[in-house]
Amino acid sequence: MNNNLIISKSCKITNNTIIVNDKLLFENNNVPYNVFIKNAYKKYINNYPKFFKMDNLSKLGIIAVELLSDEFKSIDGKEIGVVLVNSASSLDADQTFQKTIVKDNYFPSPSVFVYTLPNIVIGEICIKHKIYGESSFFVSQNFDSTFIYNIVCDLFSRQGINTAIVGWLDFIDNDYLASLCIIKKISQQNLNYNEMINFTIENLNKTINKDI
Amino acid sequence: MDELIKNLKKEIIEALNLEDVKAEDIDTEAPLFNEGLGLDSIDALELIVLIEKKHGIKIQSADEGKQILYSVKTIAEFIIKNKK
Amino acid sequence: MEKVYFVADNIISSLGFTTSENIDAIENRKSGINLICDNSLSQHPFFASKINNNILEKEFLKLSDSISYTKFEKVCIVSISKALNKINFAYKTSDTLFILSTTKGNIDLLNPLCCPTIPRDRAFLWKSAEIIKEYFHFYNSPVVISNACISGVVAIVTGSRLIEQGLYKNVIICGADILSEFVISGFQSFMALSPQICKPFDLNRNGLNLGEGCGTIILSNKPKKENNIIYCAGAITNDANHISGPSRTAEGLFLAINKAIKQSDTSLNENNCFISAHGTATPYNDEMEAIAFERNKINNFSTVGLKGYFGHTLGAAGVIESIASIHSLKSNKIHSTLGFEEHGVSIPVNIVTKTTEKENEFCIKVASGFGECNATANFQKI
Repeated sequence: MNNNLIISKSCKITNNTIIVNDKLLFENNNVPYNVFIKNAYKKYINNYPKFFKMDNLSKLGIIAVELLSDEFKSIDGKEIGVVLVNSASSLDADQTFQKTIVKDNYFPSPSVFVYTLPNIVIGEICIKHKIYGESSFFVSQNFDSTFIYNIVCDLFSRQGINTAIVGWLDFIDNDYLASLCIIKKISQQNLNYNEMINFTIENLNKTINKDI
Repeated sequence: MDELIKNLKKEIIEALNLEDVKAEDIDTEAPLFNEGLGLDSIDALELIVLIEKKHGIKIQSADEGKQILYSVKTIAEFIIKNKK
Repeated sequence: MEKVYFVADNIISSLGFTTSENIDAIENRKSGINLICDNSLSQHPFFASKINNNILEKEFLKLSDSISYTKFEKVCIVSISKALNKINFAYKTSDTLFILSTTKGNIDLLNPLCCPTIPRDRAFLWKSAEIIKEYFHFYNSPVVISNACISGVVAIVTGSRLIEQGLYKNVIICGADILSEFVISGFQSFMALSPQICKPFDLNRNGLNLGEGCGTIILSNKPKKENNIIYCAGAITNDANHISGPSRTAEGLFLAINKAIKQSDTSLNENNCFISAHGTATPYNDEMEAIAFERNKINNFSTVGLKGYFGHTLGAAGVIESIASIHSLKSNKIHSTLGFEEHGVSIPVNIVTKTTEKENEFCIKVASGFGECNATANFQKI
């Protein structure tokens, strides 16, 4: 389907590595996730103390989107959409919260509870980047490229969106994967980016589901 | 009181994930909310949990919490007054 | 663009197991919220609405004698069954999609003492959705929407947009959440629960009541013979303000309502349209909604808040409250906002205080949720 949309940039974070447009940008081997993601924060953000209140999933999403943010910095926030998918929902934060409500040590933590919803990471992304547009969080075993492709096309064609942050963002049992990309209209193509990837089901699938 | 305040500052930093803030950076009498550390409503609720967990005193409502949580000093005074 | 018709529905809540039981209760201003004393849910008694477990078991046994379903799954299966009994088209085919809307699904499984015979992986929302899909032999993989308290409205908007584009002929939407120690503890830690039955938009409102419930809506591109209600517009937005605090300028909800109003062909006014508010009865939420209504110049529209009947049913709220709104449009009766007595927001709003005979053509259903999100869906009687 010719829809004048392209995938303009992609970012993958997993196994203590950060890869943008297939190039390895950052690596921090043999350290636990919290050290890796803190070092990534220091390198790419470093001026947003709210980061340290976030749960693992939100930290992952914030870093991944930061690496894509050049692509939408100048876009009106009302016209930016966010469509994220994962398998574990907020189970990582849920498990942390569950530990604060055990019978003999019952002190439910509000700052943990606030992250026990998967769409909170979308909220954090929207706060940081002043995004007001259409957003949805879907939960499924795998990333269904056909379904998400249809959702995203509709955002552009009928829901007033002209740039979208789309992809897979999952964290469970210290296993994590952020695989996000930016979809935009061809007329806003970054002219320095040589390879223009058309937004098709196949290309979305390749971008999000490609093995590292 | 000084020992309590010193420990309180460390507890606050840990409970609220205040990265890169050291105990000596926190002004004992400065407001914790809206200025100073700029804490928010979730932080206030987390401090209420902290006070119950570490000091055994339960704050019943957010309104009651507002006055108690004004500064590190007011929290310390509240703890001393109510400690069983 | 295909039209999207609401062709069948079901509500399960503390008020009953059929839509008509629930609507009757609402029309008679009967609340489903009670003081719950249950140590497995909370150390202290709390006000909430709870589904009758004995009746749920009886209803489920009519469908299956299997012990391998959780309460959450049983509620969904019973509700979807009852809704499916009202349609006569094939639904096990590729042109029918099942969407599950829930915030926490089987979250009680995180407690190892709970439901020891159920595998722990059913805490994964998609896994629970698969179990429901397998029960009904739906064709497609289920879609799970988990967007905090706006999940139900997002499910309706998403399902409707898919039918509009001709991608599916039918969409079965089920929104559900059950009471759990997990969620109750969390809201208690927020000090967000009211120590009494909640009072939406009221001067003395002081928090929400949680509720458990399930709503099923079946959407189709084919109308029923008569009394048709269609989806006419919808929008989803963010406040970009604070993850758990409503925006003081109601930016996100203002934008969502504004966008949906612009999408509707006809002009909406206080004589042809009512609002089904989110109305959680927290000090900040209701104030924020009133501001959003005023910024859109709709604060004089009749406004209904249903959480005094159901409590806040989280992932089910948008679906249950939309079903009630749809029945309002069909029956020309708008429902009262139970719990509201004295105007308590800074903007004049037109809160409905008793069940009123009133013909309306449109309803604007709104919802807001943690993570800064807002959603609206507009319905029309044709």
